[in-house]
Amino acid sequence: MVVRRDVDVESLGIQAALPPDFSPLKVGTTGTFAGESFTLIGRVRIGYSEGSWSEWCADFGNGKWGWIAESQGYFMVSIEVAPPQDFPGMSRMTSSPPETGAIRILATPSTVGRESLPLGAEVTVAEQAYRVCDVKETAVIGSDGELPFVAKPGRRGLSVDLQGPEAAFANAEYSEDGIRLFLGRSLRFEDLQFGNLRLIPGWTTEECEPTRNQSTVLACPSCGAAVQLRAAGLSMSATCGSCGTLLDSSNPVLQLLDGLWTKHVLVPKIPIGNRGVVDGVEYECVGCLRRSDPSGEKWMEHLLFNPFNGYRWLVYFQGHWSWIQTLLEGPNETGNSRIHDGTIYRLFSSGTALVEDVIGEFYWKVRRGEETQVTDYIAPPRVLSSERYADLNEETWSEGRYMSGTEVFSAFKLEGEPRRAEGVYLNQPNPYAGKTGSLMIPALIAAAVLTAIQLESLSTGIELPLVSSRLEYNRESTNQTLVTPTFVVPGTRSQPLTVVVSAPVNNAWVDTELSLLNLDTQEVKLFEAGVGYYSGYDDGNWSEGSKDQSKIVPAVQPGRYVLRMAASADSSIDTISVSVVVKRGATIWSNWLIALFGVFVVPGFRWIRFFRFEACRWQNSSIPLPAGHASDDADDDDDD
Amino acid sequence: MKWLGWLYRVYLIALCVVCAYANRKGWSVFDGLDSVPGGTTRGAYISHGTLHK
Repeated sequence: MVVRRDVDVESLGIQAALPPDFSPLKVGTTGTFAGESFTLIGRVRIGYSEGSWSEWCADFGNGKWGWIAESQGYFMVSIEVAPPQDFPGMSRMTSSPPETGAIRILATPSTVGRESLPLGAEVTVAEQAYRVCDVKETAVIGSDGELPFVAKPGRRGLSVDLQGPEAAFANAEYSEDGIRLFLGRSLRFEDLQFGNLRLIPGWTTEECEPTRNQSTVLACPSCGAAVQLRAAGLSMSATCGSCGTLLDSSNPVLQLLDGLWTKHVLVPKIPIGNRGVVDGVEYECVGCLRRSDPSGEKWMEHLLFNPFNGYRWLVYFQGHWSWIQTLLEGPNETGNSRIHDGTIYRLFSSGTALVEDVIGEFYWKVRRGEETQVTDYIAPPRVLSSERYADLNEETWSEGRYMSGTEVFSAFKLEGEPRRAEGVYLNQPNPYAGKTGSLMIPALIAAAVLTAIQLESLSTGIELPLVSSRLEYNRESTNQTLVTPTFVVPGTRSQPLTVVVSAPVNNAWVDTELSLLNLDTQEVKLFEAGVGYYSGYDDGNWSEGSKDQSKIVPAVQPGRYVLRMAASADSSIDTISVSVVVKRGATIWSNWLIALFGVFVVPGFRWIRFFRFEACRWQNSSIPLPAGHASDDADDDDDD
Repeated sequence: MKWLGWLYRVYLIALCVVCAYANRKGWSVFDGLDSVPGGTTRGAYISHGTLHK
């Protein structure tokens, strides 16, 4: 994104021929900025080493003028203000004699500008903080319309773009005329409520004026083949479809941009010229480049264009797609993370990206071997990227979202099936995110219900003694059995009984065989219970076992019962008193514990899958896995 | 995959119902840990005549 103001207010009425373009704006287009209406009365075309853009002069009425920089589908609206005395570079200026009031620069304007406002520098103007995002040497190419001043072709200067919070925008121009400062805002097409727009062939259904697009088909200087520009006026480089030569398309006469370029072998996933609708807007694929990083990973970046909405990117890597658009303002910095639109993006990777091959056209003069410093921040499915071009002194921020191959194929009506996505991509939504959380809510409710059931069971299952009896065991006796008196299990439905057998054993055991007889139905429940208790001294006192044991007899029908108990004992016991107590009710904890396990095993399993997915994602990162990265509140998104 | 979420909810309801019923009856998941098996024998000891004094 670059913005320049190269105008001279000394005279009126200069016009110059401009190259054809796909701009939706024209002289006479109306719009609204900050509640004020304006009409475009002319424009200046500004060039720099890698391309050019248009500056439209907006007449707000009552002698108020503004500028609308049109670049890559975005619009930077600004109005000139007097630079404050402490503005960077002002201290290196000196006033000429008072009678003229003019300002002279001691060093060259370019040098002052570059040293005063280097890329990334911060400056405060009118209590608004700005950061330098772009520094460029510029020159006027030509002008159009009826400007109230002269825009001399060839006039040079240094343009410094600054960004502030909430899309605040500023531009400082260092030229022979001194420092000029413009303050405004970066906006999208729809923000300016344009009217009386230019009709664009191929993009509007109405009959179009042909004049500004007559020469979008140009001749390749290498092979003479026709090269059709799909975004004329915005494309700064294009490849010849016939010989593959990379051409400079920043002016109507194509020139070789890279004479050594061999015929391209790049086959885009989306054919050049294909159109598709994404987010309700139609885009045309105008270019594709293949990039690689030092590790050898390669990916494709498809450049999409709509004359009203500008450019978008569709990035493809091993079956994964991301929909990317340039941001009007940089994100806020917080440690290693960035905040954009209230979302925290975590640093994922940083490194250089190299252009390997291109096809189609681009809004800058792309070159084979062009290196970019790329830093990615993620908040899946969103991704935030910073691209820093050392040669251009420019840092660009873009933001995007993950797209499935199915979405892309459907949007662009591509034939065949999308390739199955391999591995985990940096901004691929975790399929287990959100879903684990959605399972946790019913799981917690179920756990609460189970606990309530358990508490209810504890309160109603209070063990009430029904009968107790005692067997005096004697080894010499022939009858080692006991039959309790008849007892009644009350109620109307089956219920558990608790039978407690106890004996004062010490380093010995007693086993009992128990039979619970229903005197009404003659049904018998058989079970065993035994006690054993051992203790001693072995590097300290120890003990194990118990002198009593409880057994729960489930589902006992109401009725009259007796309990028979037959005992056997350790050979060391000659006589011992074995007592038995039958109680109504039972306290069972195992069901509750197992049920809780059953409740949480499913979300727990998904939780493990969630973390494994994140671990796979961060394996590809050049940054260590951040602590607490796995916030599980992301929205569900479709994936392949 | 919404059906999986609903299946899980049905599973949870079934789990609560089974747990409540088992608690009421005195059945334990760990059969033998704190309750006895539910097997019965009709009249087995009657024939031996040992249950009645």
